[in-house]
Amino acid sequence: MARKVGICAVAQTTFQRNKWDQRFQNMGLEVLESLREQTGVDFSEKKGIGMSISCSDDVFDARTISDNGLTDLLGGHFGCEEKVAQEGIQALYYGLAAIQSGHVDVVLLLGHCKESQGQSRNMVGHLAFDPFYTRPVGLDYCVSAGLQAQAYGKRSGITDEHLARIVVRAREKAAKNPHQPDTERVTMEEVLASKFLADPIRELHAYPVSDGSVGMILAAEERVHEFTDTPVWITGVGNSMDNFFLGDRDLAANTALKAAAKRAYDRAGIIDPQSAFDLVELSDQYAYQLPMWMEGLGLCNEAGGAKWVEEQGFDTDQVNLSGGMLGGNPLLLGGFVRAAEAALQLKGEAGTRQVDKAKTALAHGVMGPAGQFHSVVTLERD
Amino acid sequence: MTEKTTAGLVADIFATMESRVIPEGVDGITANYGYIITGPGGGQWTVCVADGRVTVVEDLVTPDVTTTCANDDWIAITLGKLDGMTAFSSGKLKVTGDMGLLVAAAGFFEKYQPPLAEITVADIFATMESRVNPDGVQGITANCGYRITGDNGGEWTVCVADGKVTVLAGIKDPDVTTTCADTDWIAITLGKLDGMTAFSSGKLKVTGNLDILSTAARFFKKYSPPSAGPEEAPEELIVLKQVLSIPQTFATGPVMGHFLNALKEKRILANQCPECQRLQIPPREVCAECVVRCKEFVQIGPEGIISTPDVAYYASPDPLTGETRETPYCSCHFLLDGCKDHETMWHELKASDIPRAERGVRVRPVWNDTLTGSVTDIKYFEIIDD
Repeated sequence: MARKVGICAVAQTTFQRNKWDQRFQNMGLEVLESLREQTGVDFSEKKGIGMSISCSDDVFDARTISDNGLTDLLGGHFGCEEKVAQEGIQALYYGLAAIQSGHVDVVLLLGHCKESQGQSRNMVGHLAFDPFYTRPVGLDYCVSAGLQAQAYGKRSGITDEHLARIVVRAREKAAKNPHQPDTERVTMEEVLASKFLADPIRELHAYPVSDGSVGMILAAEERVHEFTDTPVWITGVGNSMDNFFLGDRDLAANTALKAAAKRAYDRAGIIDPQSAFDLVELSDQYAYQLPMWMEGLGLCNEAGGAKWVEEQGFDTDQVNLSGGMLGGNPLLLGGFVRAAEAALQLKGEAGTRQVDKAKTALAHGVMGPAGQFHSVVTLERD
Repeated sequence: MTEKTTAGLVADIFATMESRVIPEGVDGITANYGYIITGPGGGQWTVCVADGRVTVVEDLVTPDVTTTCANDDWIAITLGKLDGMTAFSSGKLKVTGDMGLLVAAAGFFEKYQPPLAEITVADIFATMESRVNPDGVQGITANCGYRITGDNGGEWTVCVADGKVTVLAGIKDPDVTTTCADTDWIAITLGKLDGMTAFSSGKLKVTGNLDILSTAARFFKKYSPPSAGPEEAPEELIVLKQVLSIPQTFATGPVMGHFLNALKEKRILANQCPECQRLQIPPREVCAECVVRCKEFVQIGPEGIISTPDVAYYASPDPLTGETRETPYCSCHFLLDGCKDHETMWHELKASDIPRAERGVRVRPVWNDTLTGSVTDIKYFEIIDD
């Protein structure tokens, strides 16, 4: 790739079921202050943050042009500000492009989401569908994921037990992640007895509702060392958008994810993805997605998802040591937090979830119904 | 569709058929078409076609083919909202006799136009009691007389007392009397003519206590004129009506929360940037210019001056109730005592003070009786008379 870009620092709030005592500006400020403290970066015209990229959603925030609520924090006062109204991992892509183009040297990324603010997260997901056809027939993100889970489960032989194992393990990992203080461990029996949301998706198979904020400082290679001694380099990025209408797709085929992964691997010069990464952070909004995305990324064999779960591939491959989205990250931030967690690992700052001598990582984000849009980022340290 | 809006529509469809005949459509056809329309407003008719002429009889007279369907479905078919073939195959429309005759029938008549709704002054007054806005009449006791001139006019008195409204015919002990023409009164009621403008242009004359009238705009919920039937739309240009609404619980956080809580004690707070010393109203977490936390709160006002006034002449309706706020309203920047330069606070100026809204005029907040920790705890600012 062109100009090398490094992640200098990452920060995140805790992710909790209902941060009733904080508006999103409070959550964002906590992240911004941590990033400034870690790096000493400021908003000065010549040496400071050249571009701020926020990530928020108008419907979740219940305000048109939701980034306006954050301009106080983003140095939006006569500064350069951009917004990602997408999975926040795209902010990393935008920031990378801004630095590689030579437009700026230092970029602030700041995302927030309060899933608890609206009466129901599903009401927000419902509005992602068109008013003519798919809204009246009752589609939302969870219901469309149910369709995909049926299609994928049938193809790869995924059972209720497989899904329960994924959830139990995710909660186990999340319980050790200090950013997930609300985590409750669950047993196989509890998962297997949990209520159906959209068959085969059970309540405990779905990522918990949460509020929180996450951010990063990116810098060009020649300036990275002003801000950190342990930069994490972005070696590859790729994304791909599938059809919006579910009927146009093969829901079990992972078409968009395969394309996104190939683009990232090509940029990073990765030939054998199965041996390329010391750890992987995947956006598993629902339990079935963990093996499905592993297949799509080429990190386990095609249609080998069930076997991968049975053999506890998630442990051997060091997948989602943070707990993943199943541990509790909101929509919009799932992939962004995955990238932040991967960067923490490569910086050696992942605490009790640290993978020994981790040098390379993959982070993945997903957005839209039934994995419509995928982003893949590959990372490496010196 | 409600019964009220479709009453008489079926009869009108048949009654207007003879005047809507398309000569080429009925050319060469001789047959009696019977119709049994069920439901309120329904009945039996026979459309007799012979020698290029059409006669409609209100009864079944030796029909060659008889169509039976419900009143609403028949109206929908006539207006093009329901396809006749679909209605038939779904069982909404039943046919006995020579079905082949019906194929030609679609070309017999020009499109039916439902009669236009007639809005009467009498209906506006007659519906007032059912349209009372409880908040708007709360605490008000007054008799408002209306002398509406013109063919459509009359005299009424709207009596407001103890949150209740009674509308009487004639002028009875009015505290204030409004005189205006029937067409203007309808236009004002429909929001097509602004009451304030009508008053200042002389279309609306007032005797008695004018202040009462400034509250009268809030007495009633919006008037909906009676409708004579659904509007038409070409088949491919269907519009869908949906209300987007997700109930929200907004956190205030400690900074906005402190500001809102202070309003409960009739105190207005700004917070101050430790670097540039600028005051921010409303207080926010950080100084928008220096991006540093602002922890110091300063009490400002409550009196001040008008910094920039403006009058808004429209208001967006509440999507759930369809209600709009009173217009016009005065959107004002106030520079409260203790503030300088752009450290202004936005709020409203009392509607009756609008004619005197000028820069530099001194104002004070008027607080609501019940304080809830909301920016609307301040009802509005009003001009301080010396």
